[in-house]
Amino acid sequence: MRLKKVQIGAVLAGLSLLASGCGGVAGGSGSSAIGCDPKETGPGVTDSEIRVGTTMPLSGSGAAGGIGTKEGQEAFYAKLNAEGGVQGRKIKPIVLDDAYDPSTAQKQMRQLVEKEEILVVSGGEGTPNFLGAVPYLNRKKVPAIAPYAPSDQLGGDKNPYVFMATVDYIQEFEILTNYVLEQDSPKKIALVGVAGNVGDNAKLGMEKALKDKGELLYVPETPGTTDFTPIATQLKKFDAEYVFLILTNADTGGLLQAMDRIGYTPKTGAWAGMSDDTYIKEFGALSQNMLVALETSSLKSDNAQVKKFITDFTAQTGKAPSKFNQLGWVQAQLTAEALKRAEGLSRGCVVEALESFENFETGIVPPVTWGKNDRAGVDAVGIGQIKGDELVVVEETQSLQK
Amino acid sequence: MTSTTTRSRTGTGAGAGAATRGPGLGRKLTRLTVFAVIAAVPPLLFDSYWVFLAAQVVAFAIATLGLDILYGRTGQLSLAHASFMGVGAYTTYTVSSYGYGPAVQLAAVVVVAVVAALVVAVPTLRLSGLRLALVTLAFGELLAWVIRNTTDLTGGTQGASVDPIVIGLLDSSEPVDAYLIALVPAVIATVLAAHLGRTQLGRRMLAVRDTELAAESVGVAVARTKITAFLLSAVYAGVAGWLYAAITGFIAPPDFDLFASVYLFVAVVIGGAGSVLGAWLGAAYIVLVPELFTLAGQPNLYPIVGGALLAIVALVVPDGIVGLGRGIGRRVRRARDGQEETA
Amino acid sequence: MIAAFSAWFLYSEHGLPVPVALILGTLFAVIVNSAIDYAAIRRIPEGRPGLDLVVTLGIFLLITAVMQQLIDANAHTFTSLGADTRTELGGVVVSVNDGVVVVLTAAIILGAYLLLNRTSLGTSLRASAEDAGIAQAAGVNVRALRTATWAAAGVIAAIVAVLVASRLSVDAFYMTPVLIKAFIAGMIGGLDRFWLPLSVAVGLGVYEALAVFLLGSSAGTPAVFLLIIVVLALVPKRFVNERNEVRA
Repeated sequence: MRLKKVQIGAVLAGLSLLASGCGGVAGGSGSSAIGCDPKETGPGVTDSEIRVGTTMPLSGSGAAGGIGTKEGQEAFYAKLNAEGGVQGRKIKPIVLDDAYDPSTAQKQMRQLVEKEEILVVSGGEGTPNFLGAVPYLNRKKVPAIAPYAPSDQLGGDKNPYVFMATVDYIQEFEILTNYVLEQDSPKKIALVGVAGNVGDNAKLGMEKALKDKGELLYVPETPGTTDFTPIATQLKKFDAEYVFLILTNADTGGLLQAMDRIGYTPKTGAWAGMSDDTYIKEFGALSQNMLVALETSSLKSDNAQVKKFITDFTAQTGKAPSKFNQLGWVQAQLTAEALKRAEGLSRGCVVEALESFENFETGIVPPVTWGKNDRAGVDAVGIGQIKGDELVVVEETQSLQK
Repeated sequence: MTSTTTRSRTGTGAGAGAATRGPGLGRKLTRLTVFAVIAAVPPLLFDSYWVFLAAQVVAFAIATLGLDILYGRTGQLSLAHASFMGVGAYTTYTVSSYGYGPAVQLAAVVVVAVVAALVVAVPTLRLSGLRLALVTLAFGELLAWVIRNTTDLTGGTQGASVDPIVIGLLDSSEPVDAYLIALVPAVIATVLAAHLGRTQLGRRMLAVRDTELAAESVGVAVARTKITAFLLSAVYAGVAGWLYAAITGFIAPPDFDLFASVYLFVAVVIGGAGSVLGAWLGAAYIVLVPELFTLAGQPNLYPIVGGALLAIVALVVPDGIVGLGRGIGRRVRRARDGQEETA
Repeated sequence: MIAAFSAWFLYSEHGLPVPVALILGTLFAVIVNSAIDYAAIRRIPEGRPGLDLVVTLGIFLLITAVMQQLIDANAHTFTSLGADTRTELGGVVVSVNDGVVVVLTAAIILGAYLLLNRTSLGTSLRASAEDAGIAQAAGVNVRALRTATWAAAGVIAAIVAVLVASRLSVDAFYMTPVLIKAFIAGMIGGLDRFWLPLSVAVGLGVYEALAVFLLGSSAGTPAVFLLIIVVLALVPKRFVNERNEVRA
């Protein structure tokens, strides 16, 4: 009897909940027009400090990229703060670990925005994880400046608060495949990519370049895989002449080891992450002659800005920079420039400032341009090759548009 | 494993203790008042981030209440409870992507959770202990594989952004609204779970937990009881997944993997298996304690403390925080009675 | 994991010679394993279903978290046990490392078999596993035997971890899939038998490799887990009777 009463009560309460559910699903993202009021001060801004932040993989298989990028950002901000900061305020960067996991990134971004109250998102590293945080950033209308998260979902009007400074993987892998097709005529090419948007984009780029010139096998991979023997077996069975890779640095090394162990050593090509010194140091022997996309300028370049970056970074940290240090540095550089240009320290004014960038030279990435309806930033990629313990530039930065 | 050993313990919380007598009206009112006061604290006193965490506690409490029904009361070890949450969350995502609102979402979640529970429960009826844990683990891994390999349907490894639910004026993308939305099903789930111990079904569950053979010998339909426990627990987890998806707005396979299931297990054990209050305390533990470590500037210490605490609690206070509280309460009462007698 | 990860740490970060690092890593693992038994497993109260699993899970979480903190949270390549020179045998590419893995595995199996079946220590072990009370009454020092068993299990686990690491890479979680599959083999074959769980383990490995070869790399996981469900759901009841199951 008592149970029945409870059941009836529960059912009634449940029905009232369901009946009130007439509103349905809330959908759609807001407009990018948040406006600039120079007198307004955004969250995270005090008289002496501006808080910015982001999430990156600082642990797990993607940690190499995250740690390097974080170091680069911190070095730039330390130098900037020593020189007086921006608009009379020091920049306080907060970087949280997302372990390359989209769901963790979303939770960490919420923490940064709601608890740490950052003004803007300064950079970031890793595509799947950053994409996890993007819907939240859109809902909260928080500008994200130059995250390293190449994807066709970013850089367009679909996500108006994300300002990109790298090409997406469709372009990157189209350029890389075109380069291979100019040098060689492989009948079979394989791609192993991080399952999801990253791998799908790279596959799309390769298909665009290949058309009907060769057979393509795509194998999606889950980041953090420990045993690559199954993937190596599948690749060997397919017998591709070229294997393209878009995996974390640790996973790329793990797969090459597994392929080597079963006696399968095709020619390889990879995304820009393999141009990092830490990768070449650990897996260089397995990666000889690997073609690597270049999104940042070569550290051996004669460009005056590159030389200045190397000097400044070394002075700050006491060590030579790597590719991911470069990325972190340029992310902080673009964020600081936007804050400098902003008429007021609010999110709306920062967006307005970002939209004023036209061919802004960093020396590290190609000139950056953003506008009212332009969030792409850059559209060019170069190609390098791992030879010995060095990365040699084989083709300077080129755009698909040119 | 020593699963066939007959146990004589009785005081394992609401299940056993309350099986013989229900609380009086005064006691009920006191409990209701305490609950109302505690429930009012987050939206009135906390900032939006902590209200968001409180909403997560409420969602996880429904999941731990469900696991408590299965493990704490029926003695069935499941390492797929987070997978059932995943079933709820991904059903929500799929249904909402067709534009359906919360009523249809919830109905779909319940139906899919029941079907999933039957798929797991029926073939595993004769298993218990480690073998049951292993098979549930296998089901969990299979579900994770399906999610990872059906990108068009579920978002795959990349995860999926779930539209917030709107009920009247409440929008789950706002932390306070999410908290209030989650509170209603949580209260219903709590009342039902608390009441379960006083029903025949609840007593049958306890009998199956303590010894299947003896339960069978006195006419308890062991198979039916186990399946019912699985179904209830899966529906609880499914509803928790529905709320989790609506509150966080984003779901991905790691949210519902083996480690997530292990942490739900940790919550039930640390809170106190077999107790409604223990399930709530456990949910608060797995959501709030990592934040406390982050606040203290030591976020990496949480997994270490979590592991150590699980082992220590299981060894020293197997009835969890609730058992510890009851033990202290008994000692205080005994000391007070002793003093009165002396006086 | 403790053995291989700490060995990697010692030779890679502290420059110790690889053999010394491997020995120290193994010793460390044995000490930790024995300590786990002493501090936790033997103190688990009787008559609480699942409590041993809960304690084991707690220790598992603790160890992985501690190793991540003490060493680091990333994956690293592990040293090869022997030259990486490859050769082709009947269409199969093998290296010296593969040979070392196979030979050491066979030696461990043979050693364990002889220990259990041809020595008085083995007889005592089986007797105490069958019924600790009777074994104690018959004069077997069950406590000392138990500690020795955990130490021996630690040695075997440490060697296996190093063998696996030499073919993959090391991090705090790299042994989890191996552990799950070993556990599956033990559950299906029975923890109180010797050859059956071993045969199940080998069969499982061949089956998984075949599934990958025929259906692609993503087929391995569902193939293994579907098999477990089907086998445990259909296997005769006497195989799933937990009467003889030794606390793992």
